[in-house]
Amino acid sequence: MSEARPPRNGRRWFQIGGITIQVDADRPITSQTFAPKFEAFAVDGPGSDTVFIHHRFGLPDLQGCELGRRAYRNRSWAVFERPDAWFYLGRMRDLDDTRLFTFAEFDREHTHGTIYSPADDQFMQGHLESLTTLPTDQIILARVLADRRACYLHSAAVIVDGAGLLFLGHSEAGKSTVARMLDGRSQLLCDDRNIVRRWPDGFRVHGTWSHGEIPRVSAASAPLAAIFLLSKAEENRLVKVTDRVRLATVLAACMIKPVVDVGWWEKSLDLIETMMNEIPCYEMRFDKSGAIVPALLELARSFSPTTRTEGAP
Amino acid sequence: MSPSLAPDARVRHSDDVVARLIEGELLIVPLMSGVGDLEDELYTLNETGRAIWEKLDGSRTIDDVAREMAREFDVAEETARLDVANLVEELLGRKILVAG
Repeated sequence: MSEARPPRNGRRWFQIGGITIQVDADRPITSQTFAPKFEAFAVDGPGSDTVFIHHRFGLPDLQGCELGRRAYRNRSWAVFERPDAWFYLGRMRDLDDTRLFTFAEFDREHTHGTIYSPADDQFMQGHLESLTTLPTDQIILARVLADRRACYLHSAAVIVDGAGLLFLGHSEAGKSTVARMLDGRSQLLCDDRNIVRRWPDGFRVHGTWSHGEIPRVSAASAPLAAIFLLSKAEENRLVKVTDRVRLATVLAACMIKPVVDVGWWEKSLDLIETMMNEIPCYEMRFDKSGAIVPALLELARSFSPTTRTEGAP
Repeated sequence: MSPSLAPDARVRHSDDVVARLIEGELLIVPLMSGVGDLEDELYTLNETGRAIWEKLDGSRTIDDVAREMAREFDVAEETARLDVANLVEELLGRKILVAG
């Protein structure tokens, strides 16, 4: 990973899943502004596909502002949709306190956004856990990814001999356990969230900064060779999954869903069907002994060398 | 027929679901957002369930659908009524169907 050049005018760039995020702010951005997990994703400048984010301080007056249809609401934030824009309103965690703590506006494609915070104290304090200062960057990026035949999956992923292996599972399914089992024999991308993207030459798996128990993350990517559905058991074996309905259900369930609409799901289900057609999938029945590792390594090495192209797009 | 479901009731697909046919089964996903897993919220319908689903377009009553199912699948009308009512109740509970 190349060293990011010193920030100019507070500007920084980070690349994830083949998308560059340009971050600007009305305050200086330093090496301490964002949490260390972002360092591996820092790049020197904008890419061919860039999302632009600008942080401003001081909330705009929304009185009389037409925000459009409310697309989503939970206890702490709400999303409004207009034909030309999206608006994100974050509220204080205290239910009785309705003051805004974040207001963000994005264009329709989520490629240009301005994010407003009431004050600059948290930004200046640094070590922010998201580039957008929203609860997670996945809220924005999951929408951006769907337009690029890509998605976040709740998964751990590693690279073995150039082959990307993706381990799908819910919380407590054993994603971090598998990552630890393969430590030293693979390159870990991320132990909790990874991006799968259909490039013109096939699927690749990309690491993300949204880690679980293991803070070590990588911006690398590799051709996606196989998907494993994690299943804790008292045996260790890989069983080819042939039940496509079950597979589609698991993939859809493990997909990270941002503020969704029919269009987002249609694109995501198209992606799932393509993934099922192109990528072999196995149920991985395993215990904590690590006895499954030889089978995984053997399978990874069995994939055709033509699938082992080096270097991320 | 379920006591809570009138034979002349009409129901239709919710606008807040997306359905996709996979290997003859219908996968129905709700328009729910979240960064967590929602496997329990996903629903699949087999061939019979799918046939019922396709008729629940708001234009037919529950009884109409049951009669059509009995004819198409060559089962007793009472059996078809029970199957349709059970499925409709389940899907109404999950907000996959709404009153027509």
